[in-house]
Amino acid sequence: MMEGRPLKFRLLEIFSEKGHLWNYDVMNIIAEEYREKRSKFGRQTVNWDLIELAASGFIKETNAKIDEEGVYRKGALLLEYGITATGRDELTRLESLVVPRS
Amino acid sequence: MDINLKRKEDNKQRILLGYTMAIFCAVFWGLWYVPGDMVWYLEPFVTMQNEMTAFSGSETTSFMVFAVFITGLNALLVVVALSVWNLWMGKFGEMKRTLCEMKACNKYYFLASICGGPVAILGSFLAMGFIGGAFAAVAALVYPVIGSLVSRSWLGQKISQRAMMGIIIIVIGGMTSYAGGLIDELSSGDVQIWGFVGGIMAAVGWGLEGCVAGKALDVSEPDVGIQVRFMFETLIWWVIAFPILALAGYPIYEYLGKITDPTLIVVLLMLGFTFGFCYVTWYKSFPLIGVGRGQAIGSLYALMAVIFIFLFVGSAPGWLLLAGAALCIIGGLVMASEGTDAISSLRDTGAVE
Repeated sequence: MMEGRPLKFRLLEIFSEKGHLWNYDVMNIIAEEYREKRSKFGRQTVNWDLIELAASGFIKETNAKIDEEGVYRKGALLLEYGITATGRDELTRLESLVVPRS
Repeated sequence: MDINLKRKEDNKQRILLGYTMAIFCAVFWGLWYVPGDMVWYLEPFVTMQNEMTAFSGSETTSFMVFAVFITGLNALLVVVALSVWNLWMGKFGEMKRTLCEMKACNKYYFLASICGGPVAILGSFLAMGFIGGAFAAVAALVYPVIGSLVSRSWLGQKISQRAMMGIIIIVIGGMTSYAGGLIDELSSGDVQIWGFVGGIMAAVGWGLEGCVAGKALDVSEPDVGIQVRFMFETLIWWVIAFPILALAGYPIYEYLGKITDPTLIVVLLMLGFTFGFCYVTWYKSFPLIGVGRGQAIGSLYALMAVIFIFLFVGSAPGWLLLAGAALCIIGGLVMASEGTDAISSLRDTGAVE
């Protein structure tokens, strides 16, 4: 339902459908769907959106590890997130407001 | 490195970035007052204001009409500045997607543009025109308190007692900086009720803008959101306000055609650039540190404005400014002394699924 809509709408839907996900996995899923998110900078902006969604309380960290292999950036903190009850409520609200595509 | 330590450090960096954004906002906002002040004294704007006064027979009316004219120009120039920014950031695709979501997202940016545009700016000019510049500045400074209270009750954002104390100290500090001018204005005997109405409009308008925009920022990107908000404001001035003024007999469109002087164009571009980036950094701070904290640190603009006007224009600051500055710094330190763990999330999240 949220494919091709604003990135944060889609991110909430991805977490709702797929459960807990690492930030680099989310970047890969988004890069498949949103062309401008394939570059290094594009991936960074996706990571940034995840940080903002977590700050808003819609997703929450569930695990963390250091990037030893360079899947995102060597030495960086990799985070796994899951959707929260507040995030689920927000997604339901968004789903009731977006205009369905024909 | 221990993973928990790294996590903590990461969280600290995020909050630090949020505060840095809010400080940049204050700097850009303060800088905006330099072209914002200059533009009133440049030709052909001076002639235009004189013509408007002759036409309306009232200096206050001509001041208000010209304020609408400048604000409309300012909004358009902010859109220009932000378009360059978003082009560089590669966010036009996201903007197109966001613009399609009127009900889920844009209605809040539209409301934010009404609160921050016609309500707050017009209110600020009413306060300035009917009472004075210092009163307008002091009245507007109340906005973080309103923003904090509404963001807590409506957005459910957490504001600790310490953060609230910091917000109030910063607001009092900002007000102290303008106390001298405020006392002069209020004791002049030329105080009109419309000035107070304007002051309330400014404080409520900007306070609510942050909260309404905060609702949309939860689900959209700040760079994109701020441009959408200014596109709406530009429409309000250019599609509603300007035609009304033209119908009332003010040659607004003829005046627009007269903006050809290179110095004036440079000053207008500076106006758009400083205001645009003040807003980008303001909106970027909200998802990171919350509306209340972002607004309070952003309200250091009042202090920055006095400093920049002193540096560029040479109006000497008095001891009240120094006292105000000291209070603002204390307020900032009170807020910064709050542990970063307390704001790892801006609201209660419920359980993770």
